[in-house]
Amino acid sequence: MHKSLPVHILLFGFIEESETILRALKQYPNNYISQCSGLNSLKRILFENCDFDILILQLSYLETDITEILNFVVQQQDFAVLIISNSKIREHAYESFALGIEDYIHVSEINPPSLKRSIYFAIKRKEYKQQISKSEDNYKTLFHSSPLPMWVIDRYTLKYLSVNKAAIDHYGYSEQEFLNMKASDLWAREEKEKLKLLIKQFTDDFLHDTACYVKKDGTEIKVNFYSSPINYDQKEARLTIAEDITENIKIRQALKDSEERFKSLVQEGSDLIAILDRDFNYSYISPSVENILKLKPEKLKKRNFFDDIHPEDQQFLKTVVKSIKHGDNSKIGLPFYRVKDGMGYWRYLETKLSNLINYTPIEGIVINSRDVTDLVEQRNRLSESLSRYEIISEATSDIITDFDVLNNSVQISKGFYKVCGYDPRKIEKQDFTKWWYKKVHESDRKFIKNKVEKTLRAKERFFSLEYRFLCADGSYKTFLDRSYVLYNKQDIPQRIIGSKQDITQQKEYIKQIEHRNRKLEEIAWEQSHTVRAPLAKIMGLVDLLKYNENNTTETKDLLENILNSAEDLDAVIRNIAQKTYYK
Amino acid sequence: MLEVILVDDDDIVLMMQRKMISRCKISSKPIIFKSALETLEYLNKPENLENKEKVYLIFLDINMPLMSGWEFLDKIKKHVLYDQIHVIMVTSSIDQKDRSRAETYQRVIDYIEKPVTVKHCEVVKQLKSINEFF
Repeated sequence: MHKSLPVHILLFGFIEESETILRALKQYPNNYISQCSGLNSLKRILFENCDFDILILQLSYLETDITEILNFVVQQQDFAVLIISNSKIREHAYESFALGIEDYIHVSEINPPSLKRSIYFAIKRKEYKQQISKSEDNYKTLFHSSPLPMWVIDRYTLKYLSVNKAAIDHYGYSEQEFLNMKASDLWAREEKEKLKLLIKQFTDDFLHDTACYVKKDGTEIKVNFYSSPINYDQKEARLTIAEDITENIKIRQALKDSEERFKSLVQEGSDLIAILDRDFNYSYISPSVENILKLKPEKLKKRNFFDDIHPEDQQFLKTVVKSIKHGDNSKIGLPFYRVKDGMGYWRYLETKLSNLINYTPIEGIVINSRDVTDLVEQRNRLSESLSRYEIISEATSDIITDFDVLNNSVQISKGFYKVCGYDPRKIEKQDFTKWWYKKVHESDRKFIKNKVEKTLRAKERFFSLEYRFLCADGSYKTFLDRSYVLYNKQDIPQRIIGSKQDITQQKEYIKQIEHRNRKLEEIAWEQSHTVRAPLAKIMGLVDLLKYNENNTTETKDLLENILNSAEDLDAVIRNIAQKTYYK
Repeated sequence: MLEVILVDDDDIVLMMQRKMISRCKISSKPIIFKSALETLEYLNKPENLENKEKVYLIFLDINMPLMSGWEFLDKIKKHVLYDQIHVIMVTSSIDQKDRSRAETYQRVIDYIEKPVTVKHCEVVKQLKSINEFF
């Protein structure tokens, strides 16, 4: 009891014992007392000053305005009302309480302490009533302005007692329609059994479940409901909040699907995906590492990116990687590098790096790798084969040409420069056919052109030509040109690949051999003529000698001639010997 | 009548052939020319051109300077006396090509590789085209 707090009292009316009452009141110095009488003066005072904590009505039931006064007073919300009456009629008391008057005392019961207590209790009661009313208002506001549909239903009949705006908007029924419905009217048909059971089990308990509800337009929605037992207007009721989670479910499913998709991509893909932290330690590795590198993901956790990389490749990789740390190179492709796999073999990887350190969901470096060992091996084999081809073509001093008929473009081997002195790259840019024909020796040109055209027309695959070709230094070299024609599906010549062999020297040799042969033929001819001539003479002379009887002069002659012929023969033989050695 | 002509650029050969021909009784007095040109000139003598009765048997050497035996044969192809001339090629060549070439000339009736021997002469006397004279 805070006796020290000042209390404003408005004293109204007059009864015989008013003096007593006044004296009682004045006993406590903290009380401010004002007085008035008559309804009009009451109204006036209250209009001017609402600062009263309590209005003490001294009611004499002989007054004519009592009902009016009481009705007016009851409407006032700001102060407590205490009636002191001299009427012994109980009904007056009951009526007063029914109106909401805080207290009703008979004048005979008053003494200063009891009056003080009554005043205090009346004021307190008024305060509590105000608090309760405020509290109720708050709840009412919460209920009606809640964005979630809420309603109050009768705990047993399930009839709607109150429904908020959100429910009206969401379900499509008007307030009036709701108040004529039961909660079970919203339930989907297949849910009715389950929900009825639930309510039966937990009649007076807090209920929480998910069920299918149906809107006025027939749309089915999934709802999470939370229902608490309350008292409402002296009825046993339930307060229910219903949360429509249909959208939520859809979104969650979509998210799940997306996650599943991502997981499959990462796990089943043929790419290796990993996330590294700032220091290039692995913070995540996709399970595909088991397929690709035959390593278990668990083994790689906490290892560093550079640990399993071939020592020769580590250096330049580190330099490339530095640029990520310092710059904002979001995405870079690393040059191929070797990694040791689970079986101890080196495998080539092609890796793309994305710097997502500043991207919150990842906060790391994402690497995406592909096993390119086969590709690298193929490339190596190809480059080996190419260099072998280059070496061979150089060794054989053949010029290899690859002529694309459709694009009139050509690729010429390096030997071209060696043999003819032309830079292959410069020639490749020109109209090759024209240029080449121009360089063929005039007298060979027509024949060559005809032969090539004939081959192409007849769709033959192979032609072999011999011609003289003008070199850069102005000299002619003889070429043996053997070419292969590739036709496409429509039998149109697509490509002519050939080798031009410098046979100038062979040609020279052949010429020399032919020259020698001619010489030998001459010799053979000479043998058959010039050698034989004196020999035939000798034979003839000897024959004559045989038939020469005793004619010594003639014999001498004949012998002389034989000797001459023999000498002639000797001379001829010497001549031949000389010619044979003549180069 | 048969007139035998010996054509060769070598004196000794001519001497040998003359001796052999007379010994074999083909002709006692063969006419001797050292060149095919001279032979042609002889044939073109008016008295010979007009003489349709004379048959000539020419022992013709192949390899001679200025005009070879082949050239002579080509020259007489269109000669008036063509049908009256019989030629026996005489050569020191053992070249098969010469033999084959000789066969292409219609008036060549024989091909002898030097030296002309008695055996050869007997064969010559037997040759169809001229054996009437022997």
